[in-house]
Amino acid sequence: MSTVAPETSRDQGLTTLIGVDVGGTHTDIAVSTPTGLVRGKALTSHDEYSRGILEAIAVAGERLDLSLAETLGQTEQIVLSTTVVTNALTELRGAKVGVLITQGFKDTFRLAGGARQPVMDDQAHRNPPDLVPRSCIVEIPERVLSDGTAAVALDEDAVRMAVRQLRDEGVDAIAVCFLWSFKVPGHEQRAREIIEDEWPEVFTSLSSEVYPVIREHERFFSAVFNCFCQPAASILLDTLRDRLDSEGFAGELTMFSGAGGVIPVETARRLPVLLLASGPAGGVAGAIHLAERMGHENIIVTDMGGTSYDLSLVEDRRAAITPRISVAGLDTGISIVDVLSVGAGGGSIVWIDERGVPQVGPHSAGSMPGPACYGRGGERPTVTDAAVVAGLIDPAGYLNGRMSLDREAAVRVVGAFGAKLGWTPNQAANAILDLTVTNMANATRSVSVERGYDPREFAMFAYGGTLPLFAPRICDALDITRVVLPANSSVFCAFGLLTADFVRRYSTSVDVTLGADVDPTAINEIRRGLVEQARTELAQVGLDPDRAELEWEAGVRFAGQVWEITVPLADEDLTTASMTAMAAGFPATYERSYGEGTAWEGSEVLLANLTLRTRVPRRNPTLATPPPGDPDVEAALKGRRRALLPGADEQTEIPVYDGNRFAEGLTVSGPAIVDEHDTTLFIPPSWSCTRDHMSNYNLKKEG
Amino acid sequence: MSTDTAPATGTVAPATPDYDVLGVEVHRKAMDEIAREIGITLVRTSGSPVVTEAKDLSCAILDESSELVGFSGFVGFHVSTSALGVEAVLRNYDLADIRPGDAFIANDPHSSGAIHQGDVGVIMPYFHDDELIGWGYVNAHLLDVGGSSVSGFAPEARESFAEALAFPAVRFVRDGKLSHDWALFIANSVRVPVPVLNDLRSMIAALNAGKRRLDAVIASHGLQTHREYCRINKALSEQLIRSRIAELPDGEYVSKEWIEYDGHGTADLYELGVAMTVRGDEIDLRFHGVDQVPAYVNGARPSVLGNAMNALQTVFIPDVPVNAALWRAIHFDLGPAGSIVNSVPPAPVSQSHMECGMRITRLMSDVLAQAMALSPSDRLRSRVAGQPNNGIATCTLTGADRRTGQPIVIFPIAPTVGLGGPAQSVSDGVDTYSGQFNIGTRMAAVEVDEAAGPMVTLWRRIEASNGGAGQMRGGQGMTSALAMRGIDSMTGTAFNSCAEVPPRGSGGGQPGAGSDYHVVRGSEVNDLLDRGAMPTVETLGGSTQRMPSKTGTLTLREGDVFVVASGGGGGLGDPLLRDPAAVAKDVADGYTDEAAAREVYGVVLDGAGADEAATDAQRLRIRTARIGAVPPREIRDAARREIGVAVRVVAGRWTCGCCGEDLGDVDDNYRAACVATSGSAASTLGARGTRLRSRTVGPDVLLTEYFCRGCGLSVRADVGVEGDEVVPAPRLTAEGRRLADRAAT
Repeated sequence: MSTVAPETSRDQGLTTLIGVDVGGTHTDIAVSTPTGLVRGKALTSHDEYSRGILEAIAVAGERLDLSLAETLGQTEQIVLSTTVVTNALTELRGAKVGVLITQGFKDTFRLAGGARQPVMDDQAHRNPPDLVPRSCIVEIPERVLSDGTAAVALDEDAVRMAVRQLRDEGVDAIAVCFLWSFKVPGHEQRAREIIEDEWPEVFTSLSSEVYPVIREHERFFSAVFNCFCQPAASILLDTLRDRLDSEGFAGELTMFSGAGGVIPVETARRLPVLLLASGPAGGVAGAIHLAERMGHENIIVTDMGGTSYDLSLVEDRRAAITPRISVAGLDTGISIVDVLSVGAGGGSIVWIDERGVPQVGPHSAGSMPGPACYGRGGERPTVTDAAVVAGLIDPAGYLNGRMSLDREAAVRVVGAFGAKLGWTPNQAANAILDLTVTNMANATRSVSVERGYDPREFAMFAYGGTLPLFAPRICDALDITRVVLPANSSVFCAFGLLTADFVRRYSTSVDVTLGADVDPTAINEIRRGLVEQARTELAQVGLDPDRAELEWEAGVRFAGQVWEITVPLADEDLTTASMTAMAAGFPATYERSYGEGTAWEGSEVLLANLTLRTRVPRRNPTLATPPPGDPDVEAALKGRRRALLPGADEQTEIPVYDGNRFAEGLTVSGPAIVDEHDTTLFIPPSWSCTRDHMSNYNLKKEG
Repeated sequence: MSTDTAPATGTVAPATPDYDVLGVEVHRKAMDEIAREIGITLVRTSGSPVVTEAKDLSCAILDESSELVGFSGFVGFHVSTSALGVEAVLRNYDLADIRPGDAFIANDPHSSGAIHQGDVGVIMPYFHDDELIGWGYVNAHLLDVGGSSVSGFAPEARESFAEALAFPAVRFVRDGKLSHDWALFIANSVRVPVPVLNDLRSMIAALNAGKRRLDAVIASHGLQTHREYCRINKALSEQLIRSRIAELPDGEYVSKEWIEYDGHGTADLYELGVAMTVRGDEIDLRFHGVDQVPAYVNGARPSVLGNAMNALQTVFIPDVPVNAALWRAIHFDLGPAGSIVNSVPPAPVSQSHMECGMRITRLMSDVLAQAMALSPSDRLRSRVAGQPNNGIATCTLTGADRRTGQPIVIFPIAPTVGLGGPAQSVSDGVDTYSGQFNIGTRMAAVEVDEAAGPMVTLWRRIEASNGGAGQMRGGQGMTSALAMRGIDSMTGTAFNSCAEVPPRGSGGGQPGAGSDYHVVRGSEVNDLLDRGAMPTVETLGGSTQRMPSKTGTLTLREGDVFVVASGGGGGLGDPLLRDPAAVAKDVADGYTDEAAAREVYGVVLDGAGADEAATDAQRLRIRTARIGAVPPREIRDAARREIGVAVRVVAGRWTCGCCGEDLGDVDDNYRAACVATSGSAASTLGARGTRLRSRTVGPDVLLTEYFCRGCGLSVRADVGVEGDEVVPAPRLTAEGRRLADRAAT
């Protein structure tokens, strides 16, 4: 993975790394010391996030026999991810934002690039939410044209008046949104100076700073969202450092970005929107790290809890990035680690559609009332109910015995559902489990097969409470033969934060036609500019720029096309020869994706944009260790349970193993069940399961 | 295409199915996914902003009997073109002569199933072990297809032969390669050969992607099972459609529309209409229209079927998985050949979809709203909506780029997406909803437009009072201004399909604004920009030139500005029932003004909010004025009336949905029991700030409102033309009356 020596600790006394994932309900902690990895959990404290964070760190510290101050005192670095920004954006609860926008384009946010989604139902469409009150959008005379000419100079008086007006309106933050600013940012930058002059305290975002790319509505929404989530992020960011310091922390506090790398707190303060989806990105980073240690190149990372099944395809141990995501139905330029989320979880409700076809999800029973077997009044069958009927989940031992389930209720609702289709309760339970597997397999296929990847070349990494029941069965449907169920499944995202390097991406439009007469001078100047910007930012956070790996990508297309194909570039100046070669090789690259004979003819090859990715590697965290002792099947055997196997009509007895006694090197064959701390593994027939030295369960398809 | 995912309230399928229900569902999703993948590949490889930005494309998978089994698209009416295109291939070629690696091109509405010539279909046979197992279909709007004007629109052509290239489903790909002969011919016949040929290559690439996916599905299911599952899924969709139709009262529902055409020097209105007969679980649609005309507004079979089905799908059966079952319980009768709804060569048809076709969509939304309002199904009554605007107005231009000398084509898409949507019972209509058939088409960004051609966008704004007034307001349209800069001149066409006959509201809702455009000749725009001043409406200068709604001879010179105002959607329910707070917010947002708030909505503002007492008094004043007396009946509480359900059937009598007033025997027309006022639609709406182009010659377009004598609320706002008879009410059968009666209880 890394060709550069890992960064040594700046202070030899600081040896601990802490990953913090501030979720909507729980704050999860993973603490890595030279001798081991421990976890901690506490309820998230939304009024003052540091309280929950410190509580969870204290819980983990207890496992090391350390006080909170001692734990923090030996900590070199804390990496933090959060759903705070995700929730603010997806629930549209955020700042009152004011906008300065090019005259004539006040309605850009309402037009939203055409609000109608590709959905047939006329009643499924809504007008875009008024993210910004219309009274807080002020038009400013200024105009840059497509060739970069600043035809109409910025009306500075108008900006001044607008700032005063917005201040009177009581806005929390101001976004500056001018046409063509990605090309010529001067007007936006000057507007910021005036804002700072008039109202130094107000938070300001420039569209050219947040997402300097063509398509104004995506850029403008990015700037507005950056303002929008700023108050929520600031509750977390403004006081956390001080609180940690007062408890004895002397190391470095960094944030994790949704694009999958560590960023300085200062960057997160300026661009809080980078924290969107940072938790799931941490999970992907952790899976990639494990994959490297285990020797897997290509993995499908999956996470399934009560409401959703999240998955991400990782090729060559590189997390894929989804550019230009849509937030609350609005197009943005925000990039996050590519995680597809589908409504399929333990709480997904089973129902019969009007054509008489059974369906699972996407509606979820949630935790209240929850599945019928929770005994909280849920009357609709869910996936968890089917698993209880099938005997896969032990009603008495759910969540390590912290909650007991009502099997009778599960049989009743699953039975009633089955009766409508002429099925016995067992047949109904298996049908529900099959359909759940089908939905998840379809979703898995959509991130693999549909994007041109053969899932058989991938191993599945599966974490989250519900997935160990299903992972091998999903893999059966896709001919995937290896599954890894990692240790510390319940705080896996927090663990993942400890594994990712310092990564940032810088993109810029180039738009150069590649041909024999192309002059690389201008492009190389742009390249050097990006490198300079990256080095400056690294130095700002105390990292040695010389240790950074630089990776380059070019977006290339035929002139006249709109979308690019990404081509890797060497870290060196471009020459006329290398650019000519790039053009000559492009039709073949293109036809590999789209079929022979489809390359465009008569169109020149265009180098549309350059992306620089900088990476400074970090020290590896310590991994978990399995229970001590020699592999001994009898010692691990806990009992036998009557469980319904796939395709069977009746339950059969299968062995149940205790995860706490499942030692390194132990291998068992399916059908079998392993009861773990907070989840249950189901090993189907023709699968085997082995525990490795990092405490992961490795499942393999036999034959 | 999404389906309704809410847990069902009642289910159709009764007994135990004797097939693998899961396998069938998995297979259905796979078919739609294949179609979707075809579309994704096209968007990723195409160079046309019409495809990449506006998503003017559709894709389909058909089985070996040429029946639709999977569909994915942004343009709904292409559910008809795929099957008709494959039929044309099979008419033109012996099956034995069709081989793997072939592909066919089809764009002629008269012979090969196309919507209009600009929407080009490419059809690829899919084989499994040398056996034909189905077809892939992709359709995209190409930048040009030759002919008398750019981009496949020929406003002044008098015969289809003068319109554009007309491919009758002809083989143009062999062994996976675009034929050299056809490439030469096409390159020589279109204005921008390089992008057009490259887009065709992208369409072939897209169908190749679909073929790979279908192979994988057949490899996993086996061919026999694939065929069986196709059959079962069609049967399941058919069953659902029939059960939905059975919820409509049996009877006949009628509507009329008028196509506007002024391209040959006279301002004509061409009448067309539909009679929808509901019989149990089947629907008969009988369309009629005046004789076909020598202008591009005629309807050809593909667009009449496609546009009608599009309304049914968006309004009535959005949750039904799309396949050939669409055509099994809904029957079409287009009447004698040679009419404007069933034209034959040489009738020009290059605007078949956006003239006749869009009026067909509106006819369907009107008759469906009438029938659904009487349904005993709560869900169907809640789906009563206004008419969508659908009246696309824009231009297509071509000229030589001053910098490169290369020919360029400009087709501003944003104004076509800028149309307001129908008001819904659950929300106001969607602003910039586009045409009802353009499902999910997007507006190209200003910056993308400006990068593509020598035009500067001066503004894009939502126009005040543009959406039809109502308890729920119609969606609002956009006004935009495009200034020519950096090119000497461009020539082309301009068209506006809804300037004079506006979209209706429903249940007492008002019509939305029409679309319009004009050219500001010799504006100051470039002088202003050159000396650093902001061009605005006030500073633009120049002279305004009114343009006909259809012209094939538009010339724009440097400094000219093309200003397009896209129309709004129809409203739902009497505007006097609108929440006063929503009206106050509309005023604050600039979506309407205080005068309209007072006169149209009866809301008197007090600062930022509504003055409740003054509003009540004003609303009573308006209702009193409407019926010439103080209304004798109270308006029911909101809980006891339904949005947009203005007339119901109670014990065989028409009854006001808002106050319970008797409106006559159900065999008579409830309109006869109402107080009617009628006037010129353009001046009536204009007085309220809602734009509609006035007609320069007769007959005028009339807005006729019918007010309940009990409460003074509007029961219906009809749009018609001078001299036309009163619009008939639904004529229910005895069975239909019984069903409608159930709705009231």
